[in-house]
Order: sequence, then C-alpha cells, then structure tokens
Amino acid sequence: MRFLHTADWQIGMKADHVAEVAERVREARLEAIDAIGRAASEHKVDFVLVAGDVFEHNQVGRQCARDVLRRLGTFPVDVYMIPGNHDHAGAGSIYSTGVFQQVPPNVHVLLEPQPIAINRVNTVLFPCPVKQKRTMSDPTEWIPAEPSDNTIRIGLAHGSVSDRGFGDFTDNPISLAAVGAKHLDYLALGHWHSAVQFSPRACYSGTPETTKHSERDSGNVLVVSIDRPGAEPQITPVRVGRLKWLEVDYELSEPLLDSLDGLRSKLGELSEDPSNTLVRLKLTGVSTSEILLTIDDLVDDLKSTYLHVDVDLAGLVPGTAVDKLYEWAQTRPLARAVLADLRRILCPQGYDETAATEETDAGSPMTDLASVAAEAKLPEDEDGRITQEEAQAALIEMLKALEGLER
Amino acid sequence: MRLLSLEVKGAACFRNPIRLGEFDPGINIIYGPNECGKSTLITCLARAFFDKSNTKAQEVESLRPWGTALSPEVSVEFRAGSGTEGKQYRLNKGFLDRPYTQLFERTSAGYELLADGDKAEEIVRGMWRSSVPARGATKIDHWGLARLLWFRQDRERFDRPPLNDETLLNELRQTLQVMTITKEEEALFDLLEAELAKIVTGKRRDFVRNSPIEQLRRQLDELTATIASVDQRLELAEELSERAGYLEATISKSISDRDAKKAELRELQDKAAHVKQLRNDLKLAQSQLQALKTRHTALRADKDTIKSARESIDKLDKELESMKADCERLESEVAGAEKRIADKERDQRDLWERLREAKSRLERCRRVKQLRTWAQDIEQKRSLLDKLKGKTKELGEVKADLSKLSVPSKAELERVEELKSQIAELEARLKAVGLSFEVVAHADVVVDFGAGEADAESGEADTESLEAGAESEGASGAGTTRSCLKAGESETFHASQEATLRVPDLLTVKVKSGSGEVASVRKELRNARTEMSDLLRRFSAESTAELHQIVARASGLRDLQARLQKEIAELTQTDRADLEEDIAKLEGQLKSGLASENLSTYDLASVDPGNEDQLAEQVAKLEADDRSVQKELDELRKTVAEGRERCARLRTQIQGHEELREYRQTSIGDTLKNYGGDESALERQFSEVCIEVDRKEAAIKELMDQLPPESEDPEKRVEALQIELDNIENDLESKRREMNQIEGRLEEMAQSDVYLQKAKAEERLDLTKRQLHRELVRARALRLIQVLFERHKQAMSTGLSKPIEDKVSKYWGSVRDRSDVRASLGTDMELALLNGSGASVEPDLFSAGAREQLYVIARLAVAELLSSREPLIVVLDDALVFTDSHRHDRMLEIVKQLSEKMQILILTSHEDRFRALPGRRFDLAELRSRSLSA
Repeated sequence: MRFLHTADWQIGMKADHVAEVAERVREARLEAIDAIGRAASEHKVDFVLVAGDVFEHNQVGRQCARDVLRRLGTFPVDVYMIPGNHDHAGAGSIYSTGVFQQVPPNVHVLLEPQPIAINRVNTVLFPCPVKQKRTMSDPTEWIPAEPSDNTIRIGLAHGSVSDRGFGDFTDNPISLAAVGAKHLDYLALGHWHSAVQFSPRACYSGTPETTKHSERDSGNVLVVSIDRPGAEPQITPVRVGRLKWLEVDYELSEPLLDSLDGLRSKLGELSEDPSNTLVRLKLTGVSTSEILLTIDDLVDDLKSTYLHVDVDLAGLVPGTAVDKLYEWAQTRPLARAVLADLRRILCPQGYDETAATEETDAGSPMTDLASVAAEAKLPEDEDGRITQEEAQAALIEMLKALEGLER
Repeated sequence: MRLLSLEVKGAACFRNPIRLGEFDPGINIIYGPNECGKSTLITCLARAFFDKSNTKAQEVESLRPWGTALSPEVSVEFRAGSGTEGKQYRLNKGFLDRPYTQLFERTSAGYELLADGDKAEEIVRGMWRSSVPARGATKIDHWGLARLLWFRQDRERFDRPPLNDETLLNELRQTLQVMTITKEEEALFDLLEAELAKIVTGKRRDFVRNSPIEQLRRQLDELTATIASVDQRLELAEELSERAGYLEATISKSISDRDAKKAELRELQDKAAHVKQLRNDLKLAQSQLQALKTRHTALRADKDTIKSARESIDKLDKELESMKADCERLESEVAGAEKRIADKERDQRDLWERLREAKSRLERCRRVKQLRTWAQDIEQKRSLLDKLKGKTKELGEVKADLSKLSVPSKAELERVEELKSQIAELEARLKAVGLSFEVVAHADVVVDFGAGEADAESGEADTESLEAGAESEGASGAGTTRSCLKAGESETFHASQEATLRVPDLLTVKVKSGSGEVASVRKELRNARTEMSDLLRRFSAESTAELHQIVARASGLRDLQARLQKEIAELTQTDRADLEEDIAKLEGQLKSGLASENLSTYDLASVDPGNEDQLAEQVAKLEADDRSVQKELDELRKTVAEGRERCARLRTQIQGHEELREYRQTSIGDTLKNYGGDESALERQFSEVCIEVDRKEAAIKELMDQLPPESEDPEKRVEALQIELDNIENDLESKRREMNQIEGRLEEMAQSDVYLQKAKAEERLDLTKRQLHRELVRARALRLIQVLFERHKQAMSTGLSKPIEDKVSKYWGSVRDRSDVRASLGTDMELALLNGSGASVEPDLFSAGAREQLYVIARLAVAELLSSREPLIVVLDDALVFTDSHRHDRMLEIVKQLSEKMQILILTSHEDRFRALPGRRFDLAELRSRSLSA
C-alpha cells in the first residue's frame, strides 16, 4: 500500500513580505496542486492524504475553492482531507458552504472524527479534523486504542507536536505517544511548514510550496509505502514546489567590480530557474559611498532576472580607502567635517575619536550628534535617532550630488 | 609694514616740501593747531599707496595748492614683510601734470629701483590688499587693510567698523589659519539643499504637499482604511459564523427538548381524563350533601322555635305578676297626696289677706312724705322771687340816672385839652416884637449873614429852612453874604423878618422879628377860644375841671349798673317767669294731694304717717311666707301627676305582655302541625337526617383523597406544556430563519472573496510602506546633511569671530571697568555687545565718546590679530576727543601696549593729552614754518 502525504497548501495566502510578486506566489500554490496530482500518478499511490490547512482562511473566495476542487478532480486517486486551524470545520467553515455540497467523487472532506475504511488496501483511516481555530485538547484522543485487527491504521491530524524536546507549542497539541498507544502504522501530520520526521511513523510533510525565506525544508510531499500492518513505513520526499526562496550572504571585497561579478556568478550557481527564485541578499564587508551607489544599480539589474530581490545592507562597514567622496573632501574642510560625522553614525563602536579630532580640525569642536538628530528631525520620525540606513542614504545623496556637480 | 619717513610737496597747504622722519617703529604723535595740514598728510599717504599716479580725478586735482600750477608729489620710505623677509622700500609718486611711480628697494648699496609705473603700483597694492576702481580716485572701500586700520577724521568714525570686509576676513583667515569654505562645497550643499527643498518645506519642516512622501502617505491612509473595512467584514463573517454555530447547537437542542415535551404531554393527557371522572362523582355527592344539610337546618330551626317560645312564656308570666303589684302601691300613694294639697290651699288664702292690709299702710305713709316735700319747695322759691324783684327795681333807677346825665366823649375831652394848651401858646406868642442889630468886630472876623426874606405869613417855616441851609452850606447859602471886617471896621446887616449871623468857628446868632405874625396868632387864638367855649357850653360846664367831674360821675354810675346786673344774674339761673310757673305747678300738685288724702294744709304738719321702714319689712316677710307655701303646693301636685302617669303605663305593659304570651302559645301549635302535632315525630326525623349527613361527608372525603393536589393538576400542566411547546416551535422557527439569513450573508461574502481583498490590500500596504520608508530615509538623509553642513559652517565662522570677540571684550572691559559685558559678532560680523544676562546692547545708543572708544578698540583688536604675522600701520586721526580723561588714560594704556606689535600714527591738535605716551613727536606747525623759511 502506498499513499501520498501532504499538508498546508495555504491556498489564497497573503504574501506581503514579497508584495511585489504576491500574485505570482499565490498562483504558484495553486499550480503545486497539479504537481501533487502528477506526483501521485507518477508514484502510483493508492490515495492522497492532506493533513489540514488546504485553505489559508475560511473566507477565501468561492471561486478559489472551486478551482481547488476542479484540480483535485483531475487526480487519478481518492483524496482524503481534513480541515486545519486555518480552515477549521467550526462555524462558518468553508467546508460547510455550497461549494462543498458537490465535490468530485474522488474527493473526501473528513469533517467528523470517524474511522474511514479503505477496504481495497486493507486500511483504516482515523481523521482528526480541527473544529475550531485553537484548541487545547489533543485531536487524536478519540482514536480507539483497540489492538490491530490486521488492518493498516493511519492517523491524519493537524496541530503542533507537544512532546518535550520539540518546542513549546500549545495550540492544537498532538502527543506522539498516540502512535504507539493507538497502534497507528503512520500519523500524517500537518501544521508545520518545514518537513519534520519524528520517526518513520510520525511525519510533518511540510508545505508543498515554500511560503517564506526562513523555512528549512519545504516544497515537498512524502510518498509513504507500508507493506502490511505493523511494517515500518518507507518514506520518500518528492519535490513539487516551483518557487525557490534563496538566502545569500555575501562579503564584498576589493576590487569592487570583481567582487560584484563574483556575487552574480554565485547567484547563478545557486539558482537554475531565476524567474522563479526569490532572493534575499545580505551584504557584508567594507562599503564606500561608491559601493552603495553601485549596489542600487546591481539590485535593479538582479530584479530584471530574478522573481524577487531583497538586499540587506546593514552588515556593511564604511571604509574610506578608495572613496571618491572622501578623496574629494580631503581639501574641503566643511565637506570633510560632514563626512566625518556621517562616519561616526555608520560605525558608532569602531569609531576612532582621535581620528575624528583630526577630521574636524576646521576649528570646530566635535559635533553633538544627539542635538543634530533633534534638529534634523522630520515628521514621521518617532524615535528621532539617526539610523545607519539614513547615514548610508546621506552618503549616496552626497555622491550623487558630487557626480551631478562634475557633470 | 612700518613707515620710516614721509615727504610731501606741492600738495594743498604744503607748497614747499615737508618731511617727517625718522618715524618711531611704535608710536608717532603728529600735532599742530587746526588746519595746519594733519589730515592732508594722511590723504597724501593714502593717495601715494592706493591711487594710480596718472589719475585725473577731482579728488587728486583738489590737492593742487590753490592758485598754483604745482603738482603734488609724495615720497614714502617704509619696511614691509615680516622677520628676515622684511625689506626697506621707497615709493616716489607724482600726480597731475607730472605723473610717475617709482618703487625702490634698499640694498647694501643703497636704494635700487625695483619697479616703476603700473608694476610698482601693483606691488604696493599687493602689500595692502588694496584695489583700484576702473576710473577715478580710490575710495576708502578700495584701501584694503587700511580701510579698517586707519581711523580717519570723518563721519565714518561713528559707524560700526566694517568687520565683514571680505579682504579683511581673508587676511584674518590666513593669519589665524581658519579654513574657508570652497565654492565647490557651497555648490554641492546648495544642490543637496535644492533636493531637500523638493521634499521638505523650509519653514515648518513639513513635507511638501505633492512630494512622493505625501502621495505615499495618502495612499497609505487609503489602504489602511480599505483594510480596516475588509477586516470589519471578516470580523463580521467570524461573528456570523460563531452565531451560526451557536444557532446550530441550540436548534438541535431545541428539537430534542421538543420531542421530550411531546411524550410528556401525551402521558399527562391520559391522567387528566381520569381526574375528570373523579370530579364528576365528587360534584354529585356534594350536591346530595347540600340537600341533606338544608333539611337538617329546617328541622333544627323548628326545634329551636318551640324551645324559645316556651322560655319566653315563662319569662312573661313572672313579669306580669310583679307589674300588677306595683300598680296597686302607686294608686294608694296618689290618694294621700291629694288630701295634703287641699289643706295647704286653705293656709294660703289667709296669708294673702294679711299681705294686702300691710301694703295699703305703707303706701299712705309714702304719699304724706311727698306732700311735705312739695310744701317746703314752694316756700323756698317764693323768697327767692321777692329778692329778685328788689334788685331789678334798683337797676332801673341807676339806668334812669345815667340817661339823664350828658357826658363828653373821649375825643371831645382830648380836644378841650388841646385847645387849652394851644390858647396858652398863642397867648405867649402874642407877647413877641420885631428887632434889628449891629455887629462890631473887635478883631479880624469873617461874618456870614443870612437874611430871611419870607413874608410874615410863613415866617416860622422860612426860619427853619434858612437854618438848615446855613448848617449844610456854611456861609455860601443863597441869601448869605460874606464880609471880611478888619479891626475897627463895621458893617450893618439888615433883614426884614429874620436873620442868622455866623462867625465861623466862633458863633451863630439867630434873630427873628414877630411883628408880621401877630395878626395870624390873634386869629388863631380867637378860633381856639370860641371852640373851647362851645364845647364847655355843650356839657353845661364852667370850666374844664367841671367837665372832668361829669366824666367821673358817669363812670361811677356805670360801675353800679354793672354790679347790679351781675347780682340779678346770680340770683336766677332760670328765667323769672319759669320760677313763677314752677311755684304754681307745685301748689296745684300739693292741693290735689291734700284733697285725695282728705287733709288740709294745716293737717299736713301734724298727721302721723307711721314708720315707713317697719311697714316695708312686714310686707317683705309676708311675701316670703307666701312663696314657700306655693312651692310646697307645686311639689305635691307634681307627685300626684307622676303617680297617675306611671299607673297608666304599667297597665299598658301588662296588656302587651298578655298579648305576647297568647302569640307564643299559638306559634308552638302552628310548628307542631307539620308533625301531626307530635313533638316526638320531630325529634325522630332530626336524628335520622344527622346520620345521613355524616355518611355523605365520609364518602366525599374519600373521593377528594383520590384527586391530585391543585398544583399537580394535569389539565393545567397540559396547558402549560402546550404553551411551552408552542414557544419552542416559534423559537425554532425564528432561529432557522436567522440561520438561513446568516448562511445567505456568509455565502454572499465568500462570493466576493473578502480574504483575497484583504491579502491584496495588505500587500499593497506593505509595498507602500517600504516605498515610503525609502523616501523618508532619503528625506532624513538630505536633512541630516543640511543640519551638519550648517553646524560646521557656523563653527567655522566662530573660528574667525571668536578671537576678535575675546580681544574687544578684554579691552572694552579694561576701559569701562566692566568684566560682564562681552562683544559679539553675528554671522554677518556685525559688532554688538551682550550684557551679563546675554541681552544685546546696541552700540548706537551709546554716547559719542563711548561709541568712538568701542570702535577704536575694535580696529585695534583686529590690527593686533593681523599684526601677529607682520606689524601693520594704524592711524588714529583726531581720535578720542570726546573721551573723558580717566578712560583716555586707559585707552592710552592699550595703545602703549599695542605699540610693541604695530606702528601707530596719532594726529592731534591736543598734544598734551598724549604726553603719557612714549615715541616720537612731530610739531607740524614748526615743520611747516621751517619748510617755508627754507
């Protein structure tokens, strides 16, 4: 007997963290259903289990729900699904609406905790539907602990594993002890987006389409084979996700242009499908105003290639060595003094006070940055502090102005 | 730079050459009276240093000595450059007709020409940082450092020193090694500021209305509003879902509740039918019991009737007996009383006889007494009447006497007196005769003589008028003449009637002649005597004394008459007629009274009427006896009447009792008729009915015990249950309706895909936020640059102004003896003073002296700063003239101190004021005279 375990499709998900491409992200999730159908066919599974959270919310549109059902209808096998915390079966559930009054014959929405026998493969299914958004009771509790009557017993549940050592989760808690106590051959879990395998008999499949950058192991479904009751399941992850959420740390070095080329080729290596890749780029190393200006261009360039690009410059440390702006300011005491202050903002810890005295030797004492911050304060600036980001922007603006001056 | 010597010729008052030198490296005092050319020297020095030699400007032309064709020429020796680089130069310059410029440099071999013409002028300009105008002579603005350092004798000395002079500031920057802002920097920051101005308003530091930031903020607000409304809808969906869940649960509960209640209802209905049957039985038994009870009551009533009738008859018999006894006793009492009444009536009649007799005696006694009173009264009144008649007669006699007597009136009497005195007077006057007189002066006298010229008829009056005139007017009256008589001279005065002679201050003599008057006096006298005799004759009097006697007699008679009249009035209050009438009336009464008593007037006195008091007492006693007899009689009669009435009443009562007894006897017979006249039949029936009632009551109790209590009445519970069921059905119906509505609304919301709307709006919100953040970061960055730029710019200008402020503060403090005032240079290098509390003090408000001191100090302070590189030449032309001696001394102290760092030229017409200073002195007047003699 073989089945496909998946969960957390989160159809209709909001993607404000990548708002520019949110539409594409939603679309990809729908397309993942088709990929799951194809995988089911490819791996010749007997049925498909969906462990909750098919929908992001009970209020997702009916059109969307129909679309999901239509895609499920194309599956070559039966699909058994339970509601999760996002699409719980409580009042107002999407599953009690008109759309679900007529589902394709191969689709089984299991809204009650009642054993379902799949006789053809000598299997009994114990669905644990979530009835409300948040409960404190173990949804697997109802499963009868009767000894095996020579059928394969499979639990289907949605919630957080509450056993010690797996984190401190209290919403919809599920104890792994149920697996042994209730003689389950396999407990198909949903809720965690990263795949986790506690034992061969209890697994989170993870979401089939990654939802954000920090997810460790998502974008797969699990194909599970159980030869007979009590036999250890054989679990195979199968990739179905289309989007790649790439996180890249990169240290800039001199010469800058070479370093940037290096970054480009590294990104190329990491992603073979740039149009479906979302990149989060974290830059470290020494920055100059020129680098900062160049990075803007670089990001624009990357955005034309990759689906989404997000650059974090907070790790950059300002350097003066080959900075055009600092060079220009060498003979200009006022500009030099202004730049020295900006430098102090950019690296408050590493700032050398004696060097500062030299740089502000235009006869003026050290600038009181707190009073500068107070004076420079604009509306919408709650804390009134000067941030590193603002100081970087100031450098860029000065450099742009200098280039404008030269033209 | 230091001046070594100065030579001027052909300029203004210096036609002949004049040379000043060698100058002291420190202080040089050039003095002389006004108009001796002190300022001209400085002008020539300035022209030599700063003007082009070939200028034809009016200012240079005006230097040509008046009325000559001379051209000004100046030669200056000076050292320039600092330390080892210092060199000695000579500048020769000619103007107007013979323009030339030569600059020599001193070498070991003496002066060698370094440059001439424009080249030489350019070198000198470089030394002074001065400039030249395109045409014309230089103005003070062109003089470079001298503009500030040369304190000239002109209006500008009271203006603030031009510390913002760019040449000066550059020199100061170089000397103090203060950085300058480059043009590129200014341009860069201007560019950045222009960028900022697109986003942020200059004044309020707010965002420009149509800047991307404002646009994004608006978008943000719109999106937030959209999300809020979507959220509301989602919340509503949530609430509706919850409500639906609740409804679902309650509906299913209601249904099971309803079914249970239906089963209960059926059971109760069966129970109710049984109870109904029981009730019917009970009702029947109760109505039978009611009939038995009615019968029982009727029998008992009959029994009671017979019993009470018998009791009543017994009672009546007893009462009849006692009443009859009472009646007999009363009748005997009445007979006794009637006998006593007859006895008393007889006694009363005797009493009345005695009383009548006593009363008649008392009345006769009273009448006699009255008659005696009247007789006395008549006697009295008659004597009064006699007295009255006597007095009246006497009065008549007095009145007759008075009427016979002729008495003169008071006026007539007075007239007689008047005439008597008039006659005496007139007789005296007749004795007077006419007179004239002569006056002889025994010394020099002045005599005023007035002569009366009136006729004899009115002589007296005229005399009076003259007298009055003489007294009021002295000797100048109308008829007065004044004569001055010398000793021995005489004059005679004449007058016809009367004259007044007055010797002033000595005497006045008045003389009157009576001759003219005699006739008139005699006539008057005649008249008076005639009137007198007429009057006396009228009253038959011989003389006035007799007339007075008549008047006295009349007065005595009148007094007597008055006394008599008064006495008569006192005797009779009333009229005399009334008195006589009273007497007559009393006599009538007395007469009739005597007749009725059968008495004569004579008897009246002797008859004895008896004692009136004893008679009255007797009558009163008899009357009291009569009243007590009457009272006894009344009481006896009342007793008889009452006894008779009570007897009648008792007899009526006896009759009523007998009738009632008869009635009772009859009713017993009537009641027993129903029982065949048999009383035992009644008793039998009654005990039968009692047994029947007891039986029925037991049966009813049994039935009642079978019935359920009122509260458990199945009928009522059926009803209540029915209502409950109806309520449940209604509730179910309304809940189903609500459920349908909610489902409809949820379906509707789901159709419009609210969640997708929310997701999209939040995504847009996030994008907008990030864009806004980027724009805000940029705006803040630009603003940060602006603030930093302004701070550093400010700091740089402070680097320049602070040394000047320090020095000015120090010197000003020492001159004014104040340490709390500080000099302050604003961003425009405008000089101001701040007092101890930091408030600005306007130098314009100072006195001329103080202002001049401050401005000299400012110039010296700048000179001191600049001289640190190379000593400079400071000129003080006619300075400090308004300064008091104390501050003057302090200023000289500063000058003395500074003279070690710079060369100072002092031009003054008060040499004595600068004696305290060291250095060289030049007497310009003497120098001039020497040059003239040369």
